Amino acid sequence: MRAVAEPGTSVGFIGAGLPSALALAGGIVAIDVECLEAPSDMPAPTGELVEPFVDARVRRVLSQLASDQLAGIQALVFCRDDPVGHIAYIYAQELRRQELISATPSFFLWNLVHRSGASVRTFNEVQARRLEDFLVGCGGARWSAAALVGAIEREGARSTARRALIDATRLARISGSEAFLLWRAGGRLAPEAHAERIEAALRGASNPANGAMRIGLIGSPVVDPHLYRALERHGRIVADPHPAGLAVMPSVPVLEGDPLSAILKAEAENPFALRGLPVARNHAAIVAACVAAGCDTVALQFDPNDDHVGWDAPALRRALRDAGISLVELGFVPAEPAALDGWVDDAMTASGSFA
Amino acid sequence: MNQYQPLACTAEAGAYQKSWTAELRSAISSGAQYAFANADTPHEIFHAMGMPVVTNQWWSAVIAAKQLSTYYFDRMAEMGFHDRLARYSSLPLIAELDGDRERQPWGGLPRPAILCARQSTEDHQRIFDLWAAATGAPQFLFSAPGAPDPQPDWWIRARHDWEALFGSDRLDLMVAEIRDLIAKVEELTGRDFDGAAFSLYMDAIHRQEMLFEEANALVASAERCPIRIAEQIPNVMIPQWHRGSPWALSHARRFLDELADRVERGIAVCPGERVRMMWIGAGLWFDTGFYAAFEESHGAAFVWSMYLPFAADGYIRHDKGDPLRTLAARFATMNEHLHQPPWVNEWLVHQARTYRIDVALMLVPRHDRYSGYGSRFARQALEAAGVRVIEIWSDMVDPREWDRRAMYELVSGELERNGYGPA
Repeated sequence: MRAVAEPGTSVGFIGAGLPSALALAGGIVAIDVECLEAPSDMPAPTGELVEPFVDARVRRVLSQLASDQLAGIQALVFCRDDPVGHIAYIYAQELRRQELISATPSFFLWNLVHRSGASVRTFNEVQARRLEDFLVGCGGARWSAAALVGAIEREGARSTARRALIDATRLARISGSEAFLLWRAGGRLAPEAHAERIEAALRGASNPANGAMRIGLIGSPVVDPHLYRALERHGRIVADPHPAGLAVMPSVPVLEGDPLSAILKAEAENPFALRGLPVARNHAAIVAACVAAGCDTVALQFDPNDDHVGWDAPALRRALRDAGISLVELGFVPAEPAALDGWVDDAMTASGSFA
Repeated sequence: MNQYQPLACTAEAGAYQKSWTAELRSAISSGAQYAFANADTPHEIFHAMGMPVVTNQWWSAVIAAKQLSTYYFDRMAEMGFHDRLARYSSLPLIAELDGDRERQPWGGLPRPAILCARQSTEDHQRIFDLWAAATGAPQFLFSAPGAPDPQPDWWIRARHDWEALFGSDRLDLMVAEIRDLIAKVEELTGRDFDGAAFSLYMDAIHRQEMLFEEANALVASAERCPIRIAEQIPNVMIPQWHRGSPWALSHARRFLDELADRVERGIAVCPGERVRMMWIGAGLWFDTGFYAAFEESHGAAFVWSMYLPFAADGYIRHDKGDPLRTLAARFATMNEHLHQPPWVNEWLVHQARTYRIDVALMLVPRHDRYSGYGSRFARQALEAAGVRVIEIWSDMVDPREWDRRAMYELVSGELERNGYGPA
C-alpha cells in the first residue's frame, strides 16, 4: 500500500503525540506510517548500522525509508515524546546525513512536551508554530482560528465514533481484535471516513460474547493484531490501555479561548502519554480502564527490548490486585507470530486462566 | 613486571570522597539535607545553595566496584522487575528498595531531601518515581526535548555558539525549569538563591574545566600515556561531583601539575607502549583492573576514556552575561552528546585522532539502550578513520555476563590479528 489515502497533501508521522487536528487545520492529512507496508528486511547498508536491540517498530520505519517506500508522502513527522518516534528520528537523521537514504520525505521533529505549566505551554506553542511553518512549506495552509475550530470539530466526530467503539468493546459486542484494527485504520483515514467505518462496523456488531472471559491487555505498545487474536482464543479483550491501545487518545480539546492552546493542552496532559507526568496518573488511568471494562483478568506483556514499561510492573500488579483483577504474566512477546498462540496458552495455563 | 606508580593525587581524591560521604551521613543525622541527582542535571544549583549532591551514576559505580551488584540485580528480579531493564541508573534504586543499608557501601545513603533527573530517557522518570515513593522525597524532573537539527561539530560550537546550537526555545524551557528548581530548593532549605555569588561560582567551574582541558591536551600529546584511565577517572570525576568548590579547583590543579611532571620526566603507564587504545562508554566499574590487562602482554595501553575530555567539551560554555542560561547550555543535551549520532561518532573520531588511537574497545550495553544506540555509527566512523574497533557486549555495573578470561582472549586475539602480537 502506498501512502496516499486521501486527496491533497499527505504527511506521515511516527509515534504518538501529534494532534491530527493540527494537520487538518492546514488542509493536510496525517498518515501513521506504521499503517503502511514495509519491507520485511532492512536493506544494506542501513541494516548493518542498526543495533539488534533497536525496536522492531523503529526498524520498520527505517526499512520504509531505506527502501524508498515512503516516497509517496511529502514529509515525515517524528514524535519525540514517544521513544519510537525519537529513536527513529535519531537514526533517520544520521542515515540521511550520511546520504544512505534519499532526501525525501522531509523530516520534522515534533517536540511537544507532555507536561503542564506555563513554561511548557510556551514551549509547546513555539513547537506548534514551527510545525505550522513546516506544514506550510509542504503545501498546507496557515492555521486560522476558524480552521483550528473546524479541525477540532472534525476530530470530535472521530472521537465520538472511537468512544462508541470503546463502549462496544467493553460490552463485548465486538472483538478486541476487530476493534483494534478499526482503531488503527484511523492512522490513514480522514476523521469522517474513519468515523463512518467504525459506525458501519458497529451497526453490524450485535452479538455480545456473554460469558467469555473478559481480558485486559496492558504493558508495552502493541501494534500487531496477532497478539490480540492469540489472546482472544481465551475470551474477549474488553480493554487495552497499553500505549498504542484504544483508550490512549487525548481528551477532546475544550474550546474555551484559543483553539491552538486547547489542542496542545489536551495532548500535553494525556494521561496515557508514555512520558507524561506524574507516573501515578498513568497507572491510575490504566487500572481505571480495566476496572471500567469489568476485566476478569489482565494480560501483561513486554516488548523484547522494553526498557521503561517494565518499571511499572510491580505497581500495576499491586493496583490490579487491589482492584480484584487477576493477572496473566505473558513476559516478552516472541518475535514470530506463529509462536504467539502457544506462548499465550502457556501463560494462561500457568496463571490458571486457560479457557 | 610493570613498575607503574599511581599519582599521589589519586589516593587523595578517593580519600576525599570517602570522607565526604562519611561527613555527609553525619551531617544529615544532624539535620542537613542532600540531593540525589542524575549526572546530567545541573548540580550547580544545589551546590550554590549549600545542598550537597550524591550522583546516581557515581553511587551505582561504587556499588558495582564493591562487588555488590550481582546481589542487587538478583533482588531486582525478586522484586518483580524484568531482566532487560537498564542497570546503570537503577542499581542505587534497587539498593534503596532492598532496604538493608548495612549491606550498601559505607553504610548506605540516608534519605535524600530531593531527587533530580532529566527525562533524557524514558526510564529516568520511572526510576525516580520509584525512588520518590520509597523515600518520600520530592522529585524534580527536567524535560528533555530533542534536538531538531543536530550539528556534528557540537564540541566546537557549544563553547561560544551555544544559543544557536541548542536553540533558544529549548534553552528558554531549561532556564525556566532551572528557576523552578531554585524555588524548590529555596523552599526546602529556607535559603535564598544569590545570583551574584552564583556568577562567581560558575566562573570557578569554568576555571576548573579549563584546567582539565589542559590536562587532556597533556595526556593526548604525550609521547606515551602518563596515566592509566582507571586513575584519570577518579581524578576527574570526583572533582566534577564537587565542581567549582575550592577543593575541586585545587585538586584539578594538583592533577595537572603531577601530570605535567610525569610527562616532562617521560614516565609512562606502559614503557613499551606500542598500541594506544580507547575505552568507549561508561567505566567497567566492577573490573577496572581490566584496563591494565594488555600492558605487559601486548604493550597495549588504554590511553583514553571519555571522562577527561568530556570535562572540557561537555562543560565549557562561555558566559554571555546570564549564568543560568550558560548553565542551561551545559545540560540541554549533555547525555545525548555522548551517545547519539551524529554527536558521538564525530566526537569519537576527533578524539581518536587527537590521541593517536590504534584500537577502540566499545562497551555495548544491550539493556542500557540509550548508552548503546549509535554504537554502529560510531564503529563505522572510527573504522573509516583507521581505528580498529572491538565491541564488548557487556554492562557497566552488572558483572553477571562478564567473563574476564573470555574477554581477554577476545581482545588479545584481535590485537594479534591486527599485527599487535605479544610484547
